Amino acid sequence: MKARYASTVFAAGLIFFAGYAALFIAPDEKTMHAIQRIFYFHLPSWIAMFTALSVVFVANVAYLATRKPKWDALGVSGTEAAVVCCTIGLATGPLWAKPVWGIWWTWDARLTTTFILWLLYISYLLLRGLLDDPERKATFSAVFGIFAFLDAPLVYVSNRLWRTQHPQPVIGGGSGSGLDPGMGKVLLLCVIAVLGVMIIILLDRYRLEKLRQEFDEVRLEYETLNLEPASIGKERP
Amino acid sequence: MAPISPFAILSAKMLANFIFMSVVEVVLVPVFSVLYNVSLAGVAGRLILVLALGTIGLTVTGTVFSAISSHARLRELLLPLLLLPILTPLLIAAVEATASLLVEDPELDRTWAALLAGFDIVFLTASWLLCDYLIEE
Repeated sequence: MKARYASTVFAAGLIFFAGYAALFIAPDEKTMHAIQRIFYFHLPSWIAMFTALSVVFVANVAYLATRKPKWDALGVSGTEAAVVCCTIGLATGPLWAKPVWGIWWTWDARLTTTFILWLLYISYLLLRGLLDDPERKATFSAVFGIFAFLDAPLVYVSNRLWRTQHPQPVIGGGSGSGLDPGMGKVLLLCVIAVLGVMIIILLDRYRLEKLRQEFDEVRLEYETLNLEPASIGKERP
Repeated sequence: MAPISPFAILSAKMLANFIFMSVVEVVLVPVFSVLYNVSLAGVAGRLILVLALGTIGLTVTGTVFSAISSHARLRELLLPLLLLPILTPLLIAAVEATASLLVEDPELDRTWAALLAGFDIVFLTASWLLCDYLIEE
C-alpha cells in the first residue's frame, strides 16, 4: 500500500518536472521555437501507447491460453491506458500541426493510421460493454484484441504506401537525423515520466478491474442462491 | 455441439458468405461497367483476381466478427463499428488495385495486390488459430 502511494507521488513529481524541463530547460528549436516543445509530450505518449498495446496483446494471448480472469483484467486496463495515451497523442499532434503545417489535420499516412488504431481499440472497449456473459466477454474481447493487434501493422503499411505528410522518424532515421544532446536528455526524461504515469494508471485500473470481477462473482453466488441483494443479512425465506 | 471441427463450421460460413458476395459482384460489375462506360474486356482476369482477394478478406473478417458480435447487445450496430477499422487497409488496397486496372494502359499494381493477399492470409490464419474460442458450446 505504501509503495503504491510512493510510486504515484514519485510519478506525479516526475511528470511535473518533465513539464518544467520541456518548457524551460530544453534548448530552443531553430525554426519552430516554442511550438516544438510539445514534442516532449507528443512522442512519449506514442511510446507509452505502444508499450500498453504490447501488454494488451500479451494479456489477450495469455487469457486464451490459460482462461485466468486476471489476464482479462490486464487486457482491459492496458487497452484503456493505451486509448488515453493515443488520445493525448492525437490531441497534441493537431496543436503542433496548426502553427507548423498551417492545418489541424490531414489524411496522411501516420495520422490516418493512428486514427484507425484509436477507433480499433475504442471498438474493443465498446464490444466489452455490450457483452453480458463475463466469460464470453473475456474470450471474445481477447480474440478481437488479437485481430486488432494483427491489423495495426497492415494499417501502417497500407498508409505508408498511400501518401505522407508527417515527417519521417527524426531519431534513428538514417544519416542526418538525430537530436541535439540537450534535447535528447529532456526527451528521455519525458519518456520515462509519461511511461511511469501510464504504468501507474494501468496498475490502478487493473486493481479496480480485479475488484469488479470479485464483486461480480459474489453477486453471481447470491443470484444462484435465489437471494435478492437487498435481502442480504435478513432471514432466508 | 457438432462432431466436426469448429474451423469446418467457420469456413462453411465463410464460403457461404463468399458465394453470396460473388453473386452480387457478378451482377454489379457489368452494370457498373455499362453505367460508367468502362471497358473491362482487357482486364477481366486481373479484375477477377482483385475482386476475389478483396471478397475473401471481407468474408473472413466479416464472418469472424459476426460470430463475435452475435452474442452482444445492439449486434446490428456493433458489427459495422468493429468491421470498419479492421477493414480499412483492405479497402484502401482494393480501391487502389482496382484503380490501377481502370486507367489507360492498365497494369495491376503488384504492391496493392500483395497487400490484399497478405491481409487474407493473416486473417485466415488468425481465424483458423482462434476459431476454437469463437465457436463453443
